[in-house]
Amino acid sequence: MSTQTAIEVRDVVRVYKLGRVEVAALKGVSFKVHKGEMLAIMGSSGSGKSTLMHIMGCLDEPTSGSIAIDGRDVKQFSDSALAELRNTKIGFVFQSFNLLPRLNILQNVEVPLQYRGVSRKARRKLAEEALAAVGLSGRLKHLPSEISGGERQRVAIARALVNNPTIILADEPTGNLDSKTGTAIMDLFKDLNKKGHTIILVTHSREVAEYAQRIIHLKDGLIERVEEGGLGVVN
Amino acid sequence: MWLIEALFISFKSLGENKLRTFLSVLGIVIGIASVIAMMSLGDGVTEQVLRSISSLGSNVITISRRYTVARRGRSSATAADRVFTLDLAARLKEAVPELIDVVPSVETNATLYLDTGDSLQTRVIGATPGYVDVYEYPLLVGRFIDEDDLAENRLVAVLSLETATELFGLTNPIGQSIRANIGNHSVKLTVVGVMSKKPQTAITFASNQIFVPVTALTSRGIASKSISSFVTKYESSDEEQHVMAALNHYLTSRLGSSNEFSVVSQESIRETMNEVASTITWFLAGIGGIGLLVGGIGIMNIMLVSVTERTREIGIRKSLGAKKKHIFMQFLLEALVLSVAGGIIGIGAGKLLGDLMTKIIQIKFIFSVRATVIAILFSSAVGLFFGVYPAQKAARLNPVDALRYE
Repeated sequence: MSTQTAIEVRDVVRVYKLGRVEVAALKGVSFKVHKGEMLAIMGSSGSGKSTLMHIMGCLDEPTSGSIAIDGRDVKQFSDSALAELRNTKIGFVFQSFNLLPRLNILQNVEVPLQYRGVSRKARRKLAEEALAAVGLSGRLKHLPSEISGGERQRVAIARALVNNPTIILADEPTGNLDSKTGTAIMDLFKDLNKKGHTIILVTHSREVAEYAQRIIHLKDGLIERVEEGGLGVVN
Repeated sequence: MWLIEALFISFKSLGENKLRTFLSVLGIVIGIASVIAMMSLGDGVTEQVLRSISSLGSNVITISRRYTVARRGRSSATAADRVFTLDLAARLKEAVPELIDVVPSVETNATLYLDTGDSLQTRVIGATPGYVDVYEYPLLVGRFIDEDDLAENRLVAVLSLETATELFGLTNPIGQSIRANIGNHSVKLTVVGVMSKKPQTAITFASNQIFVPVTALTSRGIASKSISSFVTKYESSDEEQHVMAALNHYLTSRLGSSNEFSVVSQESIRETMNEVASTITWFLAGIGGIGLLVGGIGIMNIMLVSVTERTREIGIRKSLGAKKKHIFMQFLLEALVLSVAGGIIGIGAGKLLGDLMTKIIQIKFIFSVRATVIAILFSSAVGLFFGVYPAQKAARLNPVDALRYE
């Protein structure tokens, strides 16, 4: 079975300077994310999983090592090219939703399209489609503060999807939700994965990780072990 | 295209914090309004000064005797004493044919007595027939002083319209006689004419004036025979330099030096005054500009607060694909919108202030297009200058740090 690689992480090291002390959040991590797979990166807090996610999402740069997205090393990318990459190839879903509080739901979903230069009319249509894909169709003119946590996360997922990115990076997507809503959100990710989206879940929760086909366990900035096969069958 | 989008974002975020937006706009409004009001004041003063100069008439040159310190022990008449007499008018006209006429400038005060016992203070002008042409001051009725009046030192008078009205009301003044005290002399004058209203009211002209033959004054010892100032007029404005040179040449040759007279054209006075007035205008505008500077600093302050407050928003926008230029323009446009809006409101406020001041003090404030253009350019420049740093700060934020910002 030949699979295409969505992201290749090679020997990634990330060192932070906290005053005079240097802390290595990642100490040399290598793995590949296949196109169309659902992958979980699991670890306790301080394991380096958030740092890894930021680096994979091109929000941060590795101290050494490299990241290749769709086969291209992002190190050579300019600031502006990285922004384009985040815009078109990567969709982020955050634990705290990170919706812009003063924009309504529709406008929030339109933001990535705006930066891609999509016309007003087309933006509206694409945003509505993305919202419909996550099961939201009414109340699109409401502000994020006027809807429930589960709905907010759906809006965030719609926003991540709207530019049809190669990869969706989800950081503790159910962390701020009750278990019932969390399950609904995870089912949504599963559906999206079935439709062909590559999904990377970053979580400390075994339950969430169980949805993935592969689990990378991270501990103290290193890959501890990789669980493979037979997963992704949670109903 | 994305610039228009960025403008929308700016409007939206400014709308979210109305009080803050209002206060930072207010700083610019006050700054621009004071620049506009100050420039209007400057332009108003300039216009007033220039108008009073040009009321003397155009193409006018004034020739004045310049008194030098008399050398000790020499009280005999100098060349200048011999030259600066009534004859000089005719001689100058002969020497410089471009001159329409040359009139002596002789003025003194007089008290006129009426039969009713009332009296009237007035200026007495020792005139020659050329006066009407040189000062472009036409006659209304009767006649002006003529050559015969001059030759015979006649005691005749031409009244200004105001004087005629005050003295005689609606009765015809021609042929009437007036008793006048000029200096220490009491004379009886016969009215021969009345001047029309002078087209421009000038501060240099008292409205109560009477004109008498200059010889009537000099021959009776009322005015000195030595005349220290002449006013002359030439045909066309292109001749100014040539006429000035000719006058200088003639007087230098007659007096033997150029130290004892001065020749000043209306144009050169006008230019000098214009320069002075323009300096004053810019100085006043500069004072107004200090307010604008303070307003600009206010905008910068608000923008810096806004960037800090919205660090997380910046992080989110960057994670969604915003480039540096997008974030930069978003914040820069906010600063620009603030300052340009302040500029536009400030122009209105400045105009209102000018109109109000015009009513309160006697100087007219002139609201000029120039001031408006300068105000708009300045307020935009202020927005740009004070907006760039905060916008740059926002654009340079590291996405991860911005996202983590609480």
